[in-house]
Amino acid sequence: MSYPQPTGSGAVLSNALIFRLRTELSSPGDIYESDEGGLALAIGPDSDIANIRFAYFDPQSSTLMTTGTFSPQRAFVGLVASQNTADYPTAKRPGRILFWADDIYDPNYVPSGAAPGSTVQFIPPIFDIVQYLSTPTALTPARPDKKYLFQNYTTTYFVVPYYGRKYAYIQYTNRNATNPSTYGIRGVNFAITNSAGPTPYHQETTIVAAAAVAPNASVTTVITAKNQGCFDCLVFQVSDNPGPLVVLMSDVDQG
Amino acid sequence: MTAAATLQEAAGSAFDNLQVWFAISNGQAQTRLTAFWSGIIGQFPVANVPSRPIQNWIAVLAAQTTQIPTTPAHDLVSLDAAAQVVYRLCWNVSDLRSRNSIDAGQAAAVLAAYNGQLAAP
Repeated sequence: MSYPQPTGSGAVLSNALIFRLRTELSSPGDIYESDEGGLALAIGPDSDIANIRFAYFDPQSSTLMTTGTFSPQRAFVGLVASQNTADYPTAKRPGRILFWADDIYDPNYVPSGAAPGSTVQFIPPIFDIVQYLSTPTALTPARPDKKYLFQNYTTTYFVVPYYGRKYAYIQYTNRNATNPSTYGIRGVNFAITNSAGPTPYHQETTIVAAAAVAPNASVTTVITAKNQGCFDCLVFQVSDNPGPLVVLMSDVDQG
Repeated sequence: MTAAATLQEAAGSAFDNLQVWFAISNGQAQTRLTAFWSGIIGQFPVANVPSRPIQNWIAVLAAQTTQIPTTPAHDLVSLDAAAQVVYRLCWNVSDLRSRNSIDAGQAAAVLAAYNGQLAAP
C-alpha cells in the first residue's frame, strides 16, 4: 500500500455507510486494520485476492484474539467490534480489527526453465475489502468477471493473479505478418519458499506448452477448475511480436 | 541451514526453518517463536505509526504462539499457521524498510532475531 492506510473512523466521520479498503498489494506481508466496528465483512468487487484473513478482539478467547476468513463464497455477517482502548494481551497492541491476504503471493517468483535474461512482470494483486458500517441489504457472493487485454510485450513472462477463479477464456493472435511468435500458459500455485534458492517449491502446471504461433494464427484456451485445476496465478510466456491477448476470468465455473 | 542474508530470504525459508523446531517435542517451537517476537517488539513501539503493520503482525504471532501445543510434536496446523505469519511479517519488514517507513536498525533487528531464534541448526 499505501501506508499510512485510510481509517475506518475516517469513513464514519464522513458519514459513509461502508469502509472500503482497496489497494494493490505492495508485498505478501501487507496487513491492514480498521479502528471501527462493522456489521459485515465482504470481498470488494475489484479484489484479486480471494481469501482474506481477519482477526479481532474477542473477550471469549484465551488470547483475546479470534481469527476467521471471508471469501467470494462466504462473507462474514455479524457485529465485529474494534476495541481501540483494549490491548491484545500478549503483545500489548491495540485491539483493532486486522486484515491480510490469506492467499500466498511471491513477487520473487521466476518461471522454471526461464532463460538467462528473461524478464518477469507481475500484475500486482488488488486487495479489496468492504466493511459494512450499517446493516447490509444484500451481499453478492461472486466477484465480477475480470478482463485483461494485452497487445505488446516488453517482457518474456507476465504473471496474472487468478486466486479463487474457476474459469478463464483466453485468446491470443500473432499479429506479426511475417514472423512466428512464442506463446505459452502455465498455472502456478505459490509455496512459502526461497525463490532465489536452487529448487523453489512453487508448483507449475503447463496449460499451453510454449511453442511457435504462425503469423496471424490464433490460440484459444478455456481453463476450468474441473479440467485444469485451480491456481494462484496464470503465467504467460510471449515474444515481442504484436499480439492481442484477451484474458477473461470468472468466479463461476462455466465448464 | 545457513542464516538468512536478507529478510526476503528469511521469509521464504520460514516453513523449512520452523518445521525443524516443530519436530522437537519439548516445546521448542513455542519457545523459539516467543523469543523471536519478544526480541523485536521493543523496536516497534505503539506510538510509532509507520511501524504499525509490524506491530499488528507481532500481535497476531504472539496470540498464535500461545496456542502451539508442546506435545505432540509436529502439529502441522500450528506449523502452517506460524510459517504463514513469519513469512508475511518478514516480507512486511522488508517492504516497509524499502519505503523508509522503518529504519535500517529496526530491519536489522528483525533479521538478527530471526537468525538467532528461528534459523534451524
